[in-house]
Order: sequence, then C-alpha cells, then structure tokens
Amino acid sequence: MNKKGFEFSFAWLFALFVGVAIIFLAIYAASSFLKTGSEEHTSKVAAELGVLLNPIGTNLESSKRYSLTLPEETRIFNECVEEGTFGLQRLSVSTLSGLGEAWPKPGVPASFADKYVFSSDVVQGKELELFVKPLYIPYKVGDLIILYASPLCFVAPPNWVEDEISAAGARYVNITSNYSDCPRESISVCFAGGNCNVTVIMEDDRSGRVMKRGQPLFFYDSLLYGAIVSDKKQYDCQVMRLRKRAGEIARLYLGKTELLSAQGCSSGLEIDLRNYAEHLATSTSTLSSLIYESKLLGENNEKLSCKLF
Amino acid sequence: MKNSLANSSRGQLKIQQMAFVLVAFMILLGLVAVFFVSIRTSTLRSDAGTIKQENAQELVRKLSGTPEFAWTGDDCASCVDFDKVMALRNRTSYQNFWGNSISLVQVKRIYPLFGNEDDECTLGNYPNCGKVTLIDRKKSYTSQDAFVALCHFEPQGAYTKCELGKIVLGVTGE
Repeated sequence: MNKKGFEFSFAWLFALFVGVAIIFLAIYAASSFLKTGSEEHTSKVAAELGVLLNPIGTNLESSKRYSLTLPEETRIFNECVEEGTFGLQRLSVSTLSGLGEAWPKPGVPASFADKYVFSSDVVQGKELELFVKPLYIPYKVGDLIILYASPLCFVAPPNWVEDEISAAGARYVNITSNYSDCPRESISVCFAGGNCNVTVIMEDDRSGRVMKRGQPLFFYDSLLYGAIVSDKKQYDCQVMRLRKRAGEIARLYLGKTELLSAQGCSSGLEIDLRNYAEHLATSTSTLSSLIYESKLLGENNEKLSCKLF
Repeated sequence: MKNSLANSSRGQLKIQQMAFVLVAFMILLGLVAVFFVSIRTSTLRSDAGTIKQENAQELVRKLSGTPEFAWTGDDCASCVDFDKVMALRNRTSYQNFWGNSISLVQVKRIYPLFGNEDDECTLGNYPNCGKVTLIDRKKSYTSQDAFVALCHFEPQGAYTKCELGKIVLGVTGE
C-alpha cells in the first residue's frame, strides 16, 4: 500500500482557515476604506462648492456669471427642501470613479438656508456655468443661482432678456431669431411659439409662464431663467423658499418702520407689510397676486420721505 | 501509550502557540487600525474646520450685501442698514440661517463711539450704542470680521447718517 500521500495536518487546516479569514478581512477593509475615502472626498467637494457659492452673490450688480471647472467629471445633485422657516438647499456630489461603480453614491450633502440653486435635479459635467440674478419683489429677496451644463438657445427673446444675457456675458447661451439656427445639442427655448424643448409664454412685460413637458411654471422677472433650467418640482420648491424669505424680510421692514415711527417718521405701511408677509407664506396665494401686491408696496415706499427699502 | 500521549501534548502545544501568534497578530492589526483611524479623523476634523473658516471668511465679506443687512437707500456696496439690524435682533427665525457652525453674529460700531463700545443696543439707547448681537450661542469661537458703513435714518434733520462699523462672525470648530 502506498503511504507517501501529503499529510493534511490540523496545523495546515488551521493556517488555511485563518489565512482565508485574514485575506477576506483585508479585502473587506480595503474596499471599505476606498468607499469611505470616496464618500469623504465627495462630501468635501460639496462643502467646498458651498464656500464657492458665497462670493458669487450679487451686491450692487444686476447679474454675474461664473464658470466652474471641476477636476473630474462630476454629478451635482440638487435637492430643495421646502420644510422649515426658510427651507433648505442641499447639494451633494458624485465623481466619476475608475474603481467599482462608475458613479458611486453621492456623499453627505452640504445644506444652506440662504442659497437658491436652480437646475435640473442632476447636473453633470466637468465645466459648469453659473448665472446669478437677484430677485426683487419689491425689495431684494435673494440671489438666484442658475446652474447649467448643456448650452441653451433662446429663440426670439424679448429685449430685456437679450439685454440681461449680453450684460451678464452668460456663456453657452445662444440668442437667435430662428429655431433652425440653434445648435443640435442645445436646449432650445422659444419665446414666440415654435417646436422648442421649452416654450415661454409672456403674459405681461416681465411675467408669464414657461411650458416644460406640458406643465406650466409661472415666473416673474429673473425667475424666468430658473424656470427654464429647473424641473417643475424643484422650481416650485425654490419659489416657495424665496416666498418664505421674502415674508421674513417683510417682517424685518415692519420692525424697521415701527422703529422709525417711534423716532417720528411713520411710513403708514405697517398693515400692507403685515398682509404681504402673510400672503407670501400662504401657499394658495398666486404668484401674480403677490407681484401685484409687491408692486403696490414698492410704489408706496417710493412716496415716503424716509424710505424703507 | 506513552508515545501517543507525548504526541498529543506536543500537538496541543503547537495549537496554543498558533493561537497566541494569531491573537498577537490581531492585536497588532487592531493597533494599526486605531492609529490609522485616529490620523484620518484628525485630518478630517482639520479639513472640516478649514472649510468652516473659509466659509465664514467668504460669508462675512458678503453679509453686508444680503437683503437682511444691506442698506438699499443709496447705491452703497458695503453699507449696512442699522435700523434693519435692530429689527433683526429679535427674530428667532434667523438663529440657524447662516449655518450651525456660526456661533456669533455681531454688528459693532467703531467710530464714533458713544460711551462704552460694549453697550448693547436696545430700543432705549439706539442709535447711541456700541453693538447689536444677533446670535450668541455662548460657545468658544474663532472670529472673522469685515468693516462696513453703518447707516441709519436720522429723524432730526431727516437725513441718512453713516458711521464706521464692523460685522463680526464667530465660527465654532477648529
């Protein structure tokens, strides 16, 4: 009988078992570290993006334009939260990865109560364009940050839109008089009817509605640009957040007028400001009725010797 | 019989040896992991602190232009509406508006000073007072400040008066 076989002793069996366990643990730890590292990196990018968005706010400027060049192909996830006193703007980031999943889960979102980013839910690119416009109803409420990666093509826009776009020097926004002149890869926006991706119907000098996938997005003034680039849910949420902030600012002006009244300069706008603040917070008030109210408030403020805003 | 017992105890000794080596190896791995995690955590904490500081630096520069602070009577980029700041003083809704890391927001008068610079503004002493505290979480902080013009309506004579002041932001964290 041949007894020259390999003796598979307990020591070998034990070493094999422990070796497999250690290698498995090492692989698991390495992949976990990689995943955590990637999440940490994307969370940091999101926080830094928030820091970058601070200086782009307007002061006396009527608009601003920025180009954001990212080190790698990036997806920015734009989430708007309506709940709370001012709501929240959440931005999270995912970067193209060479290991494992091409687009890993986005990192921890950076949250801001004072920023309003209008874009589609996910913006992807290495070079992103930002166009910043303040919103006045009738006082300044905040800066609208219009974020886009795909070129836009405005077909026959009104003069004020054309002037604002050229004054800001917004990049990747073509202005043409014919739909056929729009580059193929661009998002076409028709202002005078036509077969565009987005149609703008003007109802007043500066207000109207933007039709996207059969849904109307009502706008006033610079909200037009937000309506063009955003999805309906995102747009409505940002508008509501702006209304909430406008309401809080109205209460500040109410406080200011009470302070000035005590010093001998009454504005007589207390009731108007209180009503305006209430209407802004009521979701059933339409944008057009609020704009009407804001215009009246603006006109009354102009007549004052000690103006509130 | 004796031979078999000797073999068995040698085998047990080997198993014990291996178990000790294994335990020692795992302890070493654990120590390396703890060391690595502590370095990573401290780097992460310092990065988070740097981002918070950068954010505060940018924020303090731009705060005078925000609707809650800006003087809108004239075209003035760094003018703060002192009357509006006084109205903002009691608004609890703004406590977390600029972020949780901001533990102090103060508007201070620099020149001219009326009495003590630390005199908190109230409805009784306004505008002849030193500072308005909008947020104070009573935490330790690193401060960032920016000089501004503090403007308010002067009822005696009905004109706008602007004085030198500064906005102070306190940031918690490293």
